[in-house]
Amino acid sequence: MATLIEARGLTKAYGAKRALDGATFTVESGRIVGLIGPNGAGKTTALKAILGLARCEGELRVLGLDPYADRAKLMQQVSFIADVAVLPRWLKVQQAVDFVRGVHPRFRPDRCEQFLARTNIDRRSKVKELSKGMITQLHLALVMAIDARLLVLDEPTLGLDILSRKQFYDSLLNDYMDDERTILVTTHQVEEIENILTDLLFIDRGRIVLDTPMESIPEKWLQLVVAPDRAGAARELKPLTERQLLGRHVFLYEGADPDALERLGEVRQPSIADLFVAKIQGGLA
Amino acid sequence: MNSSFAWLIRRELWESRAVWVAPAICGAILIIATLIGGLQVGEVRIANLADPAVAAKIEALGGDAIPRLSRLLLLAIAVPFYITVMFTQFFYALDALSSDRRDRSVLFWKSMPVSDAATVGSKFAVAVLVIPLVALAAALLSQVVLSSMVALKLSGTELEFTQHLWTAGTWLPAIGATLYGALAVILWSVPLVGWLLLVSAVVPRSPFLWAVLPPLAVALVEDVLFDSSYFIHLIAERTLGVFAAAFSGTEQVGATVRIGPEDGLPPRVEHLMQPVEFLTSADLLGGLVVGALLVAGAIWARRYRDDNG
Repeated sequence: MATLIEARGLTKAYGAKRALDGATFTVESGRIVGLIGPNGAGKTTALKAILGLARCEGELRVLGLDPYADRAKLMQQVSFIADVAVLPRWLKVQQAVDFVRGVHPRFRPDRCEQFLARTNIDRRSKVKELSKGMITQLHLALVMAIDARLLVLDEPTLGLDILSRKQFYDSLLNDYMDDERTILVTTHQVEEIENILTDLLFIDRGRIVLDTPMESIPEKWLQLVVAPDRAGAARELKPLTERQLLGRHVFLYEGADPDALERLGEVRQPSIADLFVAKIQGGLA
Repeated sequence: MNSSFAWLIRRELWESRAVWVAPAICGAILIIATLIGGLQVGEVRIANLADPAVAAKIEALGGDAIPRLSRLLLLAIAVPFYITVMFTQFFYALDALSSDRRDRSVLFWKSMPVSDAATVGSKFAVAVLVIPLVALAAALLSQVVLSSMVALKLSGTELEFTQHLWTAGTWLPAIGATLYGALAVILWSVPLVGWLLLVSAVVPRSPFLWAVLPPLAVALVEDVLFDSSYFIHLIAERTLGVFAAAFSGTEQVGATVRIGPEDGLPPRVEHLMQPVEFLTSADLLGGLVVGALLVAGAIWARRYRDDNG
């Protein structure tokens, strides 16, 4: 398994504010990595650094290249969708296809045709005449037809309705993803990517606070739901967080003994949102 | 890479229809103005050529007067196209590196394997080459159309003018001067386009105001503090000054093309051109160097600027 992205001590300051503060992480090929963090945590800055759009301090190699110095070369192997609204409004659908075919050596026109054929998009339309969902479909058709090793998605479904969001991720998984490809995605809608991720990166205040494969989450983190009379005993086991839900107490543990928890109540696997609260909002808040 | 650059140029033409719309409008105005009788060089109105009294006056100049006048009229037709080029370049270059940051589509363009140097280069090439060449083609076409209109108007008359309308002796020097004028406009525009591209790449928004207000402010301050107008003259020189730099005696042309023997013969168009002086002038060569630096600055700014402004 090859390392696609290697970041060490990535730092970027805008004036006094540090958007990235020594972020260190790696992304291996064939993975679908979710980069999750609250607003202003440095997600977008990290993606910009990876895409060569912003210069950062620290070490950063993407596909063995320095992204800022070699952006044009990097973009032959890396695609990205910043968010759905960035296709220029004056561009016609056919022009968009022709342009990408003209400038991108790894673009497969036949694949793009296949994707477009499944939509109701008229080739003669300008982007501004398309609905937001259609613009996403068009952008996705263009990007999925590029034989790239890394696809970066920054809030790709922002502002889309539920149906379009679902279609977006379905196409991505069914028509695009394979062992050779890697996806790095940021989103606020954690629930909708929960089931497709293979790895999780939490970022907070410019630092990586959690870096784990999804499959090891159940080994490390457990959620315990207990009746109020057991809450005291549950607190003794040093949970990361505690909250109350419908009269019951919900605790999240890191590295706890599952058998000890089983004796107190119902043990569940925590969701990404639960982990997010524990890791980022921090402790017993 | 070469074919990729051609696609970048094509992209510009998809977006900026003014490249061909502006010269088309210019040509249409000239044709309509001629039909109404408004096109004038000195005291010669094209529509008046059919007027026997005017024609007689011109013929009275004798000798070479008529072919000389014909060539000047043909060159004069190109001048509004040169000015159209300047306006088109101004708005095109100001928009070139800012409109896609405004609508965030810069992120789409930057997701393509195209270097910032190639992107800026394609926009520079459109501004200094494509825009003038399209306008040049429109100017040449207009010369033919307007000459045909004159020919139509004069057909059936015995005027000597008709004999010179379609001769190589009239057209070759006129076309030569028209091409030379276009070359001068192209070379002269390099620093101005460079400046506009830099402004377009750097400023967060409102490139028009950024390009126009600071120079106006400088000129105003200069006027108030020093009671001089050096800066305004500099701007005039770097724009419309191309005609004075590339042609000699432009200010006299209007005055010399008088109808009447007392004013002498109109000048020969080929004597108006001063290519050696122009191409070796410090103003032009210095402008090219400054232009190259400004374009390099625009490439640098394009790299670090993104949708964050």
